[in-house]
Amino acid sequence: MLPSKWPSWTLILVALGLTLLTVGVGLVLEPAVQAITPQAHPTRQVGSFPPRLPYAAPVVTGPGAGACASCHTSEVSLRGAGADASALERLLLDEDSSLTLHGRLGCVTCHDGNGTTTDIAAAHENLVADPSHPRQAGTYCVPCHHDLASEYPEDHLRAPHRRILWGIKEDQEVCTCANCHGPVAHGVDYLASHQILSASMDYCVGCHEEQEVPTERLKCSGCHIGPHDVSAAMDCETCHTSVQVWGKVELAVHPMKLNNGHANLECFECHLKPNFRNLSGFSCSDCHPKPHEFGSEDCVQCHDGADWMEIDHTGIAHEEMWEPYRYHDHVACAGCHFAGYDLSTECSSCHPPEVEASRAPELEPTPPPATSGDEMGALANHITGRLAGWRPTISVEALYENLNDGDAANDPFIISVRSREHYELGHIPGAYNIPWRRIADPEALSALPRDQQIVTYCYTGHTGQVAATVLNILGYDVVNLKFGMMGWTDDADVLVTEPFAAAAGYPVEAEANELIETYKLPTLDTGESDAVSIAQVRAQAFLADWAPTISADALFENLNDGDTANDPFVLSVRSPEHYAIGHAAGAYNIPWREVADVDNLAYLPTDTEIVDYCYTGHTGQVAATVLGLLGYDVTNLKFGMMGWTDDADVLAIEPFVAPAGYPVETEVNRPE
Amino acid sequence: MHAQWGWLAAIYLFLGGLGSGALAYAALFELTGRRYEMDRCPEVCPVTLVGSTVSGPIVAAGVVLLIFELGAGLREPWRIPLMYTHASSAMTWGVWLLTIFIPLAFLYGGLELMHVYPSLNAWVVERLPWGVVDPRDGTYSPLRELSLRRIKRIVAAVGGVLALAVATYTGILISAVGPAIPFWSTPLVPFLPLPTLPVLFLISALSTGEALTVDLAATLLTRGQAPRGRREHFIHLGLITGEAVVLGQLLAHAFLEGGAAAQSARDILIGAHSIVFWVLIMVLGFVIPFIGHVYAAGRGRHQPITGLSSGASLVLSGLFLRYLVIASAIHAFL
Repeated sequence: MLPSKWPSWTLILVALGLTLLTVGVGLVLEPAVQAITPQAHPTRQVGSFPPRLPYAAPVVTGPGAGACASCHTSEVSLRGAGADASALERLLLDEDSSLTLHGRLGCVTCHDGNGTTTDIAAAHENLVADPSHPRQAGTYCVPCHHDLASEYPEDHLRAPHRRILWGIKEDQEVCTCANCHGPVAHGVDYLASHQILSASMDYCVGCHEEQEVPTERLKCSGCHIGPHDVSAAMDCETCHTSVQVWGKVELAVHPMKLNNGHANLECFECHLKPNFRNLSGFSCSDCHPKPHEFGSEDCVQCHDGADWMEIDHTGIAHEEMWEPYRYHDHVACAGCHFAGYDLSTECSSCHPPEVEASRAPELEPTPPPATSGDEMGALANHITGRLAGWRPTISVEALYENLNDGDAANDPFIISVRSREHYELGHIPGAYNIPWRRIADPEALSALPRDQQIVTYCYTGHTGQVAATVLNILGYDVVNLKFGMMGWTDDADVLVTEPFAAAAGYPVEAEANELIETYKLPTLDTGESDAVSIAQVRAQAFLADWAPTISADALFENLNDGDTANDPFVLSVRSPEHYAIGHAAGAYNIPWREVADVDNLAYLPTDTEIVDYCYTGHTGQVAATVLGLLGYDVTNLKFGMMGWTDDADVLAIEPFVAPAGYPVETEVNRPE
Repeated sequence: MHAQWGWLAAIYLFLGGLGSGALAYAALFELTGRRYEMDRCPEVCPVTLVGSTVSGPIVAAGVVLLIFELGAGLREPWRIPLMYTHASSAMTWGVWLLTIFIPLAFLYGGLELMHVYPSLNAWVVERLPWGVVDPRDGTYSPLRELSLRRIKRIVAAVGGVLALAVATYTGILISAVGPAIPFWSTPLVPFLPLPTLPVLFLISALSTGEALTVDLAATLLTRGQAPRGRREHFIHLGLITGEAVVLGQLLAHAFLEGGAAAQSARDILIGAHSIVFWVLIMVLGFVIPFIGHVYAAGRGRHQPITGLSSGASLVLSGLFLRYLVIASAIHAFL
């Protein structure tokens, strides 16, 4: 068919040309076909219920257009019909408006009149000027929009259409559909009109104010569906003071006092979008992970919110809640508030009177009688008396607060039991120096006050606790600084030892080991007659070459070296309740205050090394010192369970976290 | 004409269908070996020559129109890359599909031209260091391990599958408008969420593609015999019948559905679009080609007059089919 001279590739051009030609033919042919296609004239269907509008074909402007458009889209025609400028503004329509969804319905669908004549009078006969007027809307708008909703949650809007259309009083017929939705057939898209409504409420408020709508009906919730999950009793105005700009919220009230860090938070940092989570019943633990299992979910029931993250400064008025707290302020939170504890304030909750019974309920052997006349019995009884009610430690914060409260009269007598060399590197302001091994020397004791509380401190709390225990037994009012310089200063050069870093994570067991076997008590031979003198002589001799601590690694290695012959006798001096939660494998339990009781001493071996442990190393050091004075071969587990296990439930107390960073001085103080 | 979807939409849907249908037919000839039946395609196979070469430009032109219709795409072209990122959008599927299909179609066209014109083949091979002369058929191959014919077969296979997808996508594109325009989402089987339009447009695309490549191109090529036997006529009769059945189903189901969909169908059959439907689609697109192909199939040989008439009428009715679907759209009653 193609000329034979044409190369084959011209077929490609021909094909593309045919494609182009097809499109061109279509574009030309379609208007011509449409011009001869009968177009339905829009008419309203009457007599049906609910009244329905038949679909009206698009109103085509230009050739063949309806009579209405021929005039109302032509400024010339309207002027010719006598329209002035204001009428033109109202009556002259954009041709494109006929292409909108409502425009395609045709003019007479909504306005009635006669769309088939250009005679002005005949065309406007029975014309409905405003079909969206409440009295007309039922006829012209509602037949299609008969399922009008009253709430549009996606736009957070209420639109009381039925009340507007049928519930308005005779003298308040002001709300036409077009008031809000615009002249939908005249160039305003109905969906866009919705968006306009949700974007700005100036129009709504302005119209309501202009029509003098009662102010009580202008509540926010009259038009807006609140995006927050709040109770119906809380209207928007409860929290928001700005009624014009919702994005700029000004809180009228806030039920929770917004102090500290809360004051700088944005609303939605707590009250999460989109539902403004838990506006009521909001609790601290919703945002702040609760660090302990005990207590209420609402932290402020115990903490005052000021510095509640500071464990030792909880702001909790324990003394007001529980009078005996003054004897327990050295105990960490979890020491009392351990899992399952019912927060009872009964002493028996922690101090059961039948400790021995719970330890060995059936196989209670009869300990050998202690002879009160010998040195051992005298010293043991004396120590038991001194330990009862003794508060062995003071926190660094408490000591610092005491020293800086402006009242020098209540300042304690501070003894650094570190070496002279380390004392001179830095010490707590005002502290004197007596190395711990010499604490019982007569010349040292002669420098100590009897009418002033003494505070001892060392490196990590252990040797300070040794010194404090000896002094306590010797009759002094003394406490030891918890964690020693490790808790006081963050200056590594002053500390000169490795601070506690982390627990070794060694295993524990929960099964109780019963104390059954008994031993003969050691014999003391100091030649002294009274317990204090016996203690002093024993201390001088005992402390001279005593190794007071053993590391967790060394103990674990010993227990797991496969040689049970060299295993020490492991003694937990924690409370029976905490012993029951978990203890080092094979450990027995005697609380530290009762360790010098001759009945308990009978269970301790004299032919085997004893390693005792407590929570953080302090009360274990008390017990070890006591047992050492009583003639036992004993040492204390350094850092106690804090260094042994990483199980917070077993540890049951707050471990050491970081030094306080308090100042030190280097000037040497000499006692008077 | 509808305010939002106008002629532009009808044209790019038509171009998408025509281009993909043409390539699908070229691929069919390539893969079935009919392209190499020398008695039918002694020098140049018009089906593969036209089908492979016009597909890329036609579909690309449709995409240009599509972008032109996307006002935002013109005003803010930097937003166009975002169209690749909405995985759940039918638009994004199409963007990816077209992004792959159009270069492949151009590649297929180029390979076909290299096959037809050895001088072009040599020109290309000179610039491709890995090109060699294929010892089996004497043609040059741009790859050492593959003959040009084998490369073409691979490209044709992939391109053919993508062409079917593009043709179907033209229907998916507008049926994705969903419930807003019930006629467009009228189901193929009542109450099943499978729209009719993708199927209708797929069949129509194959029909117009065959009309362009087999009816028109093969008839217009004077040298040699047109690659036509009874098989092509029966295929075409099947496509015409299938298209008529699916279109009938679309209208019937639209009536069953009622509401705006029924109003669209009423407009098509007896209303504002009735002449377009009865004359430009039924007569031009079904009756004339059907009679022509039945006649040609009965004669059992090439009939230039039936080829030209049915080809032209099918292509034109393919355009008006898209127009009709677009123009008869009615929003769901509010």
